[in-house]
Amino acid sequence: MKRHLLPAGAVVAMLASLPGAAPAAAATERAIAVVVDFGTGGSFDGFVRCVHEPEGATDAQALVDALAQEGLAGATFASSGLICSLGGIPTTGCGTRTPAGYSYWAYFHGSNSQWSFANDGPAERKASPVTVQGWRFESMGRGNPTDPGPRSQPDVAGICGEASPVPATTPTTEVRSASALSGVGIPEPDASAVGEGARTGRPAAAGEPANALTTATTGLTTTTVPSGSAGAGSTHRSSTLVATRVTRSEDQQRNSWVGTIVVLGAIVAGAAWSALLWRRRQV
Amino acid sequence: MRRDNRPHGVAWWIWALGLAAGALRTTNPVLLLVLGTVAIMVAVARRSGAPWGGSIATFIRVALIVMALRVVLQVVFGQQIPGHVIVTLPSVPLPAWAEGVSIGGPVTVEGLLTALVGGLRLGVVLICFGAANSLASPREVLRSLPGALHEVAVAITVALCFAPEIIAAVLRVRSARRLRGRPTRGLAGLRGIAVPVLEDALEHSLQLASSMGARGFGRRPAVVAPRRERLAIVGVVVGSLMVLIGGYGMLASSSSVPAAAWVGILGAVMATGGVALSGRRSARTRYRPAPFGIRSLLCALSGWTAVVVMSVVASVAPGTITWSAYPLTWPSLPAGVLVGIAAGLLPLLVAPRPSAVRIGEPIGAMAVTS
Repeated sequence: MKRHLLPAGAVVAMLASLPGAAPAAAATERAIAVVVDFGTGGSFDGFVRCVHEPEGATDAQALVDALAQEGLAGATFASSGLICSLGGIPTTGCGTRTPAGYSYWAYFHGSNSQWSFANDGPAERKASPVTVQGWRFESMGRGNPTDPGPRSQPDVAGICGEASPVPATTPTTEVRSASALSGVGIPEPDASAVGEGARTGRPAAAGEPANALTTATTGLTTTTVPSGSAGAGSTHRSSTLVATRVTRSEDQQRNSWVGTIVVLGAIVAGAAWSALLWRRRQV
Repeated sequence: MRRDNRPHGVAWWIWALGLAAGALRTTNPVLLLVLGTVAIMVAVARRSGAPWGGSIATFIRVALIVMALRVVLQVVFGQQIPGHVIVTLPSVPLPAWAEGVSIGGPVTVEGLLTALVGGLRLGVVLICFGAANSLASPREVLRSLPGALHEVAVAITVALCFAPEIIAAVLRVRSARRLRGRPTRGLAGLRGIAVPVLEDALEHSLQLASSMGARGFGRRPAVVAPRRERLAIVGVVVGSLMVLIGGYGMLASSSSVPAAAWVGILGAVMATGGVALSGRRSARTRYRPAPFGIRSLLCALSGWTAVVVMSVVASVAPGTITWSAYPLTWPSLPAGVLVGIAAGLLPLLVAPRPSAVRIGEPIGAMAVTS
């Protein structure tokens, strides 16, 4: 049953991540600003995205969409709901405590040019068009509000453009151009470099309209490297971490399902044996 | 009481607690299923013929209810972590101050699986306790507690009398009603069964209390050394608390208890010391104490191999014994851990098969004598 659900679900997820895949919902879509800081290096190292979410969507949904549009590996969660990794960072562990500190993804709400440590979870917070959701990986954090926020200004207007609340009756095509004007570009599932081009101010490839309003990265101290190589997700990367950050290629399915079936068979056999024995002793 | 080579009751409890600790250590559904199956197999094959021998079935039912409840709660109030949506339920818009609560909304494969595995984890722990209940007479276990815990043991014995015997009472009343052609199911059946069962239980408790009073159970010998007594109490209380904190620190994967193992060991030493100190006071002797032989030892240890292997595997390769539905992946199958859990089947080889018909051990006051 799981085998059936997995590909079907993947198709659903792909459809959902396509831009403008839900024209019906476009009527109430809102622009949500997402800032993710991978926390390495001396300055902001991550990405800034403006994603369009239907009203009522959670911050977690916006974050997942932002990662998908960046072409990065999605968010992984522990069974408790704690965020383990974003974009494949960290590669192992989930909220691990070391003598140096607590390494985890800290969640912030940004408004009025200030980040405030969130006291709620992204899955329980409705994405808001007036606050920026910020993420920063704290490798030596404390797990309390003294941990630093993302090294980028929480500037909704700058990230999502001046017309941040998308007009209510915008058709799908106009949503696309609006988001191009906002300076974040339209993500193409197979050519993520397109979005990069738009964001970094160079004319985007693949016929995307070049825009004059690429003000999104003002105020960001980014170490932009030329993104000539297609498929490299984000340009705001320090070279040391490029290798470890995982692009959204395909799920590594290391764990074979054959072994699982064998073990499940053994479990069923054991349960059947118990049931038989129970019957015999009951008589 | 009995002179056979069945493992000691305490051995069964140690075995079951080991399996339960294993279930709390992992979130891998396959490992959890294997743990549950091992517990059920041993419990069914080696359960005692006494009335509580069938309690494993009750515990399995409770475990299934727990799992179903977890899934329902997830569907209705669950966390809205993005995933593969199966169906979107109508959601109730709540005001801003109640933002943390959500009712309805999208139901995801991941959410359902997470709830199911969470329920399974709790269910396996319940099944382990059910297995211990089926395998060991609760009174025999309490009989073997150190003298210092005598009063506590008596109180627990009386309380424990209630649980297994309520099952026996329910069965008795139900068969009586069936013979009379009265309904045994549904609301009418529930009312017809609950009242006589409660009445029975109350009557039974009063009877037990009076018979225990007549046998001098409430009597305490005079305190000879008050200071030593106080020291012993402090040792037991502080030591048990430290065992609790240390145990939590070791079992919870992301806890921040420093040096949890040492806290636990120190606590155990303190508690044992305290118990030994105050045990000197007790003038009671034990009537035909059950031997804790090599079979019992093997039984007790076999339940803990799973946790030991899990801890080793988790320190070498973290992430193999944990599983999360985000993103959906097949759970990993660490072979070593599977072998470690399967070692919990050792009692099937070590413990003798119970005799086909075992006349129930005496119920009530007679068996409480310690």
